[in-house]
Amino acid sequence: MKIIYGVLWAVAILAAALFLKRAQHAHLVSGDVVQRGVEVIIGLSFAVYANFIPKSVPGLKLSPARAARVQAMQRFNSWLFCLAGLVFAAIWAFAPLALAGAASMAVMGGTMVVVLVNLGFCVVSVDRKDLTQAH
Amino acid sequence: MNSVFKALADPTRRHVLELLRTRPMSAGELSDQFPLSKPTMSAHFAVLRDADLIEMHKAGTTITYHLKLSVLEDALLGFAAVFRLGAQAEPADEVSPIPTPDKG
Repeated sequence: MKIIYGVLWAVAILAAALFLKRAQHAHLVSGDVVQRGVEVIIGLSFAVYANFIPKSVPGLKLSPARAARVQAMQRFNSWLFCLAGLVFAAIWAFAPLALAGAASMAVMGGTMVVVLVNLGFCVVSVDRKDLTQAH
Repeated sequence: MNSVFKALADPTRRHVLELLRTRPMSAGELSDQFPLSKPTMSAHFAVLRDADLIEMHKAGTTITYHLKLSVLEDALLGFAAVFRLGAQAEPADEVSPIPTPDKG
């Protein structure tokens, strides 16, 4: 079922991009609007995807300490990804085009760095906790 | 989405979700936090499971509940807590206790 939703979502994104491109060819909208529209759709798609990340529960068979840490890491990262997607979309919707590219990449790059650092801390702290409990 | 709003409308169920935010907990641990009977708590857990807000994992005789909130549902839970939605209602007045089989 998830695959069907994923395929439908991908088709909707491609259809929206195609619609914008056709509108540009028909001189209904400018090239800038097409670029902004596609980027806004990408940002919103990212936010929607991030919204559902915590619905998969990875810690079902982990120890309580590890499950709690993984849950906290997953919630933090999904909130961050979701907000980053919304900010990305807002930048492309409202910021000047000259700034939008660099600003949106900075937001996404910064988000990825924070997520990876958080993931690293999670792995290290969980292993230490488990070792402490084992002794 | 209706089941999500129904689940979040009750202060007891919101408190369960807030407890599960800290870590996954067993059914017993959760029940000990409330002055309610175990069948009533089971009914609350069932409402939360039906709304897909928690995940149940059974290992032997222990049932552990894990939080399963999307970002939007998490935000709704925050709003419901801030505005104290359903705080006037008597907790657990809309759920029927799930009868437990007699052990004796």
